[in-house]
Amino acid sequence: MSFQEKSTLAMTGILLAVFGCYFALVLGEVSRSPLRDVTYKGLMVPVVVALVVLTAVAHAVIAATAPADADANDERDRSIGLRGGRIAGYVLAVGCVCGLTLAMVEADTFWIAQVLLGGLVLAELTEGVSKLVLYRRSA
Amino acid sequence: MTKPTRVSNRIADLRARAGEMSQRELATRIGVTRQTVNAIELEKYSPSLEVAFKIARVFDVGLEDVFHYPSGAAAALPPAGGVS
Repeated sequence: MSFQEKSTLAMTGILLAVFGCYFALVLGEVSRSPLRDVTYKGLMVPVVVALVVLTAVAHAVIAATAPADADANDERDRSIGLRGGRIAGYVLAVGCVCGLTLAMVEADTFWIAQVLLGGLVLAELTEGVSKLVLYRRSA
Repeated sequence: MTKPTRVSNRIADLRARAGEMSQRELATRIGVTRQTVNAIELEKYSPSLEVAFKIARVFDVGLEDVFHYPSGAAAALPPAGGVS
């Protein structure tokens, strides 16, 4: 498994874990709270900190276990990255359209924000999974 | 491209003839990862023309001594520009 494939696997897992916790909290208790607009904005700080810390730790571990391959990136990685990004673009577009639709029907800002964030996260997850499948198909 | 390819190659054979050269050594010499050399050898990935030339140069042979395309395969392809 190349450095970029391990990185993709780690990032996909981290995104799934961090935003799984976020959406479990926000779409559960928080969505029913009168202070939900304040709470979800406050949750963004620990979410970003968790993403940065977990990403740094994961990449440090990956690099330490195979120092010679650290940050290696070649034409196959770039090709897989481009294809994964193209697939993720469709998911992101659907998320944007859903957010726009909610705005047009004057939905609550809270739900517009969750749909837009959900679209962004789903697009990132789609890119990660697509890249992992492409790596395996041409392993 | 990252799909199985019709381009076959003799890289494993050429490595063996070159004093059991490892995939990692070949990868280092042509500037790609070992996994990419493995994918090319297993015919799951077609390298760029530049990498193909680099591989041929490492073994000091011509491009067609390393890579092969089945005869008649070109006739089965769609016209140029027909597929993105």
